[in-house]
Amino acid sequence: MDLPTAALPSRRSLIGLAGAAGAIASVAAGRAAQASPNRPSESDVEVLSRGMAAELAVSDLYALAVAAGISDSTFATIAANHRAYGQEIAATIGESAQVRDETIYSQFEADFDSSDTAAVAASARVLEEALVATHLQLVGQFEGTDPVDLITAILVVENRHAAVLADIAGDSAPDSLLGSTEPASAGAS
Amino acid sequence: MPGRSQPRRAATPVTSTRFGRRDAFRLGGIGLSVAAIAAACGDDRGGDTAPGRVGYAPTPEPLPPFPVDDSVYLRTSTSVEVTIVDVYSELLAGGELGADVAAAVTELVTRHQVLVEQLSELTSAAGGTPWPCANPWMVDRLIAPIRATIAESDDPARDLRNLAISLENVAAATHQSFTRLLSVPELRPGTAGAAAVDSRNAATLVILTGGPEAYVSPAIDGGEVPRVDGIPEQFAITSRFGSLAQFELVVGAPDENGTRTTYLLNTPAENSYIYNELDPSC
Repeated sequence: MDLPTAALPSRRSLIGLAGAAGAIASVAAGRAAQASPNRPSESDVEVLSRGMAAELAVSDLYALAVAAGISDSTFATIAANHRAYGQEIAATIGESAQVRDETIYSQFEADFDSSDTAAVAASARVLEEALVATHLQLVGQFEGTDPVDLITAILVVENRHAAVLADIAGDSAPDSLLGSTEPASAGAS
Repeated sequence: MPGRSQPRRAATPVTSTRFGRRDAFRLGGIGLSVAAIAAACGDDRGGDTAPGRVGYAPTPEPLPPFPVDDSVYLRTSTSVEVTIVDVYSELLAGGELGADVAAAVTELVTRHQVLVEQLSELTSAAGGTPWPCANPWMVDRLIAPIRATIAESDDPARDLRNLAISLENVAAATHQSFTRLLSVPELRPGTAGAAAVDSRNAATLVILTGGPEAYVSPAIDGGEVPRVDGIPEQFAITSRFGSLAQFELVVGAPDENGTRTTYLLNTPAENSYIYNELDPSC
């Protein structure tokens, strides 16, 4: 799972917006009766493995913020949530949930290594929204339905994280708390 | 040999037959049992195969034998969104919402209308006809009775806020549950995205009215969800993973025992799908 610096400001670039409605229609006509397998395919496992490492990296970033002095227990809860995501993905693909994505960790390390709760929350919100957008893109690519189930169950809670973090960051206007309807357009645009 | 007398058999007493009456009964019983087993195992059985009914409950109506495809899931998702738009529009028009929620709900109406458009586009892309109405089953079986109960409530504003949060939660769960069922992977980000949006809508309503105390549910770490006056508190982050379980909504005035009315909101099932064969009536 890549969360490159250049992509983070623009969630649209992460989403890709590759699935135009017309393209979906042609694909739908071609395999309407085709049932997807439950288990992750070989390519699914490869993607999930990177996703697991990303979730572990994000969990460690929140843990870093707590260690730096942030006392709001919400950060510890979100850290635990991301660790659980990494562990659940690991269980799905039969790997050990131990190796974090060092690129993502080092990319955000300076932002999270701080006791400034509002500043960390603002960075964390951006990170959560990037995860949601990336996961939405993946949901349309998996061949097995078990990965679809798992990643969808993860991304809906990550979007809740983003609302909470916006509020902690002091950005409490309804528009900010609600975020964008853009995630839903990933399949339609 | 002619003329030669045959040796005569010894006379047999009449009472010493080979089979007694008891034996006849026994053999008859065995024969009947074998016949019953043979009949039960035969392939030409007739008659009603339904289990016997006890009491006077009405006979369940069989579900319509309509096929379920991607269009049905997307039309059903759309119907849930339209249901929410209708409920919110009614509440806003009647001035029934508290000031802390009304502004956000106004914004939510716009957002749900966007989702209706996006899900309708996906329905067309999947080869179906977009559904423009609310979900009739939800309206008749849930919304109407809930609204009637809230009308008699000791705190309608509180109950309407909880209704809005519950509707957002059940809409998110609906889209989430349909995502894996779609046969065309390219359609899945659309429903998963709708789930993400509605999930965040619910969190926002909770934050706006509950503040930091309502960020995280204790249920995440195995704790009990606290209740005030018998009503479960709402939280922005309700569970570690998106939940497909039913949502408990407690509304209305307490009875003489202090008990309020509980409604359980579930994601749509076969009896509330918007099948391709259904025509809109709105």
